[in-house]
Amino acid sequence: MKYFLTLLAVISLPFAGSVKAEDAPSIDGGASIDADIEGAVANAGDVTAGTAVIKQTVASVTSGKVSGTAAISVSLEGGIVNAGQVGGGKATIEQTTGAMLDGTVSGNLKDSVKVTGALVNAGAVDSGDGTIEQSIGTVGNDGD
Amino acid sequence: MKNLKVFLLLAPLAGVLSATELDDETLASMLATRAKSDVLSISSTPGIGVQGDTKVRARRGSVIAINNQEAGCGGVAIGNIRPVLGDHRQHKVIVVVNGHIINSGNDC
Repeated sequence: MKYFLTLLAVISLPFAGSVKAEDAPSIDGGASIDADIEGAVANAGDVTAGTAVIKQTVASVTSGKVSGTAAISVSLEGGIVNAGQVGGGKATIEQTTGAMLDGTVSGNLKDSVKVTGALVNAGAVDSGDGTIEQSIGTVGNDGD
Repeated sequence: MKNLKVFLLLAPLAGVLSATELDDETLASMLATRAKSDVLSISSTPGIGVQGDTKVRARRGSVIAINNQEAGCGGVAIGNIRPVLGDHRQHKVIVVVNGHIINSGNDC
């Protein structure tokens, strides 16, 4: 699988500062994410007991603040698969591609996602509590 | 039995990961067939009904329409904007998918 992900330098600047790793980044200016992926993106889980969160996030904004405009561009040639088997316990199996899940953007937001291939979100929940979610090119999340 | 289910569930995954040998149309058809099989193996999930053009698809035997009938709830969000988020002034979202979109067998 050939995987090519480009982040403009403006995004990496806040991470080079003195902020702690767990702090949400704050970007002074615009930000851009450009991902070109040739091949499949897959997230899978098998949970039989306990509590499990299995997440995969590709080319997405999950938190933080952008003072200028933000642009997300994803081109993916291949399938996107999110699959889970839950036989007990509580499982959350999530996959996100080209999305802005949380955070703020002061300027405009442009989100462009092109997928050539199938999107598959499949679950088999025999018992317990299973949530299997897939988000493509979305802004916001269910918790908003 | 459980291991068998896991294998069946992940079998299409293996197919996708070797996608370099398959064209997208073939790959999508394989995944759709696999997902349909998974959905049909779960009989206790109530359906959400068939509406609009999915009725036409159902009559034509589309696996997508069948999945919509059988799935308990939606687990796929594509190109949605939930405007409560953030304070950005303007949204522009473009999503293009050339392939099947399958959501099957989820229990939310």
